[in-house]
Amino acid sequence: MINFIVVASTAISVGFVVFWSLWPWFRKSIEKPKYTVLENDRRFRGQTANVNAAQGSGQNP
Amino acid sequence: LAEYTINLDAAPQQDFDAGPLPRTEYDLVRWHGLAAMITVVVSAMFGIAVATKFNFPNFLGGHAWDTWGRLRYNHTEGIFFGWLGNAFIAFFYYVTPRLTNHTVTSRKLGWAIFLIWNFAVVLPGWVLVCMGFGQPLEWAEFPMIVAFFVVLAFALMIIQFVMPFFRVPAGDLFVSGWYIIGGLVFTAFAYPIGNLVPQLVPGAQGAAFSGLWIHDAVGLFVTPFGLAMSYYVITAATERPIYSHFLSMLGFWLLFFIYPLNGTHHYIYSAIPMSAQRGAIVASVYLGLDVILVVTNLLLSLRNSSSKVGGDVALRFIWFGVVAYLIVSLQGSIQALMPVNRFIHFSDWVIGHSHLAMIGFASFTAAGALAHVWRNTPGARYNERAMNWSFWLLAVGLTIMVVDLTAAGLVQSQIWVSRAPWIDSVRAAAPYWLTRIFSGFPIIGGFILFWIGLVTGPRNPVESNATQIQPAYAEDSDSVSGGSHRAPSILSYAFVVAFVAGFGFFVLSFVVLGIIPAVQLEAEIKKTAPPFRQPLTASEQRGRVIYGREGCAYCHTEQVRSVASDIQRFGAPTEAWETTYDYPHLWGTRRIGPDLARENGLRSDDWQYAHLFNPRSTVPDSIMPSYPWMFEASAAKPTREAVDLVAYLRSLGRERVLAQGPGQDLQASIGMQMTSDPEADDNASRPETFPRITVAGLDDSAPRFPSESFDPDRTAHGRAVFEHNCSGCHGLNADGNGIASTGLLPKPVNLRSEHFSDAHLATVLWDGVYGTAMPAWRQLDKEDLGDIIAYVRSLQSNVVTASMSANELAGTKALYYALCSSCHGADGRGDGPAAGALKPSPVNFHVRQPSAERAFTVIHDGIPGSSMPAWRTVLTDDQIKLLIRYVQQFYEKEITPP
Repeated sequence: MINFIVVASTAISVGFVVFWSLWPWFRKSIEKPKYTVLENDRRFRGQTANVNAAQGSGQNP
Repeated sequence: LAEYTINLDAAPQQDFDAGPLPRTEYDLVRWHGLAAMITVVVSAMFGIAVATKFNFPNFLGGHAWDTWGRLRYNHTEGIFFGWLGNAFIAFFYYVTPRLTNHTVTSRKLGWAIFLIWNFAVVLPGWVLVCMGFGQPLEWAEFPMIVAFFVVLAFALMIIQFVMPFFRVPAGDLFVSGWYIIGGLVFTAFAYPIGNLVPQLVPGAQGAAFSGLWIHDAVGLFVTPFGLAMSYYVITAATERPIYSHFLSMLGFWLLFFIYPLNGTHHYIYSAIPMSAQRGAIVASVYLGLDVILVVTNLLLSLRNSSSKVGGDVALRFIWFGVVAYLIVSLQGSIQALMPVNRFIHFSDWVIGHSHLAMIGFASFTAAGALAHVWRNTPGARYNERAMNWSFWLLAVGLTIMVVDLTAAGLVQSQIWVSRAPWIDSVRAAAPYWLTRIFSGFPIIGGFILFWIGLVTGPRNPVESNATQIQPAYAEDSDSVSGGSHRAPSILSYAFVVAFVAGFGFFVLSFVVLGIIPAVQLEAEIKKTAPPFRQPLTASEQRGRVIYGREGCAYCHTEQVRSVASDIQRFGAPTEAWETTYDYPHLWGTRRIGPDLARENGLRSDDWQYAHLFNPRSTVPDSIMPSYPWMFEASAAKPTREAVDLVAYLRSLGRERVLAQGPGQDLQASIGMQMTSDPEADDNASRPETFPRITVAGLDDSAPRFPSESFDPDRTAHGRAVFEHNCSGCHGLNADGNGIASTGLLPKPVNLRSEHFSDAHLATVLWDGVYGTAMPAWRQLDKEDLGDIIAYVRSLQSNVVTASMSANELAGTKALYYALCSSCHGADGRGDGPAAGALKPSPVNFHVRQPSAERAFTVIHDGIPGSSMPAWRTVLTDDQIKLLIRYVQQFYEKEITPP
């Protein structure tokens, strides 16, 4: 049980690091979602921002 | 790493569908948000009521529906399903379109989920628990019918929220999406298993599965969704990408692998196989390391954002939650270590830990996410000032509560490992519990202000169909994460991979923590169980259900752990075979009152009835709830429920006693020397609380306590100990008229109306009196016992020196032989031929000398509840008076047992 946990945890960690260090596409692709989500959030908030600008102050940003 | 993680100026290329934005179901966001606020305030009120009952047990009166156990169930389930569940769902409606670029599956399905979650789970769950249909499974206290709707809701939530992820390639899925898919899928399986399996698999085997859910409720429901919120809100509120998505994914996979393997750490030193316990401990330590990784990534994502964290209340809530997550996780890892667990487990330390997890991490994170969602919900009102006050009230209240409970736990634990009586730990914790009540007010005030923050303040603009604005960096084509970098096909579908995380790791933990230990236990039980078993009777079974429904297992454990302090205090450790009729197990994870696994034979039924009717009557400092509705206005008139419950209590440990051969001490059977008292001599050879049946009022093995009735200090101290422990039955004046006495048969002894030898008093205190409500008081310090004796001796008048003429003596002796000797023995030593079959044993007049008045009443009227009959129709008053003088002359002539 203990051996299993230690070996499996190590394998998961080492697997990620090996992928990360050996394959450039992995390095780039695994970071991509953090930009995508930011982009998408801004698109959604853009809706509100446009209305906000049209209606003037006195409302939440 | 820095190249790929810190390049904030790098501009990602938009490769998602830049068409119209998917619809966000803001109505459902609002309804779930408001439901979250209503339920958190109600749940917190349940919590305040429960906390108040620790110091004022009769708070809210003695109704069945508002007893401590039922309100405790509603408190935790309300926080879990009502507050956190609704807040999570509100967040899912907001974030799913933003993570997937697709709307949720169905608006109608959304309303169905809302109705099921709140009107088929939370509300009926509360009502049914108050009506007495709760079940004693942690984080699964709502009855089974409600559990069915929980599972249905999870199935619908998978359709609602996971299906939009089907179209997202794994390479595009933000870490929050991974956590949402994994958490929903895992919980959809773990919750029914945690509910159902302990009902079908008994005792220790069921506990192995139960531990799985206890931990997964926090680990795979609260934690994934809390982290999903943290990652998303940090990104959105700072308007910067997180530090490293690589580290976040590493954290995700390690968490889903390790967290489910932690469950058994709730049962360290139990009957569950040691290999499973050790595995859970190692997993707990690894989990701490994983949390360090996750929190480091989250905090690095907030670097250079201190002004935003300070000024943005939503982000501040999240930041607090992240820091609390680190603290509580490391605390959890340390608590799982055996030397720490041995000391603090079952104490309020653990309650402080759980509040830090559920308020500090989960509630702060949920509040931060809800605030963020709310201020971006078109048409919603949002009051930043109220939110700000809410944060500080919650932070102050929680800090006081956690520090207070942690200190209380250390105090309790220290008392438990000493030889002090159990009730001392209750007394010592009282000031801490009082502080805890007051710490609850800022918390509930914080939640109310948070609610106000969601319904007051300026209104957000309504949603428009305006075209989306282009982010400033969208024109930069040198993105580090440009669309040309595609994940290979094996990772094309995020949901497949996330399903592995949810379902695959669930199966893994089910096998590793449930199936394997259950198989090992099956083999162990076959090997160790005695050949003849005594299952519970129908009455005992009914009592077991009542015990579970009233939450008794949340204050009294039913497992003696394999640690010295437990064995010394309660007896032999619980073995797996003893639990094979327990559906579900009632081991418990907390002790306010003592463990009950060895309750059999310790106390009389009368004592139990009096204790249930009014616990303060038998234990003046008890904080146990009263259960008057189980009686018809008096402890002497128990209803069937009380009879069943006491029958169940009487059965606890019975099988273990029956399995012991004659003369085979429990402690000898486990081969451990449990006493730390070098002067404990031969009495150390058996557990301190193990009672003996004493005939003739003397036990040679009972220690002779040093009682110095001439010492006023010792006598005064003895009186204080007497008032704390004995006055409920014997009365403050020691006249046998304590408030519990009305329900006891035979009535407690009037200590002022008889003279007792020191040896007899020592025997009574050490062994109790079989057949009466008088329990053994071995948990009291021997010096205290000696002082009680000193106090009792100080109450008594001088010994009567009886003298009789030869004629009187001859006639009375014949009368005594004819009427009394068969029970009291020829020489008045309580050892007549019938004595062995009588309970309580007949009085030994060599160690007890009743006053003339007391003796006359007894002979004339008998003693109800004993074998002493009324002789008034047989004897004249003169004959009775002669008999009194006859038995009085025996006193202290010979004090050695026959």
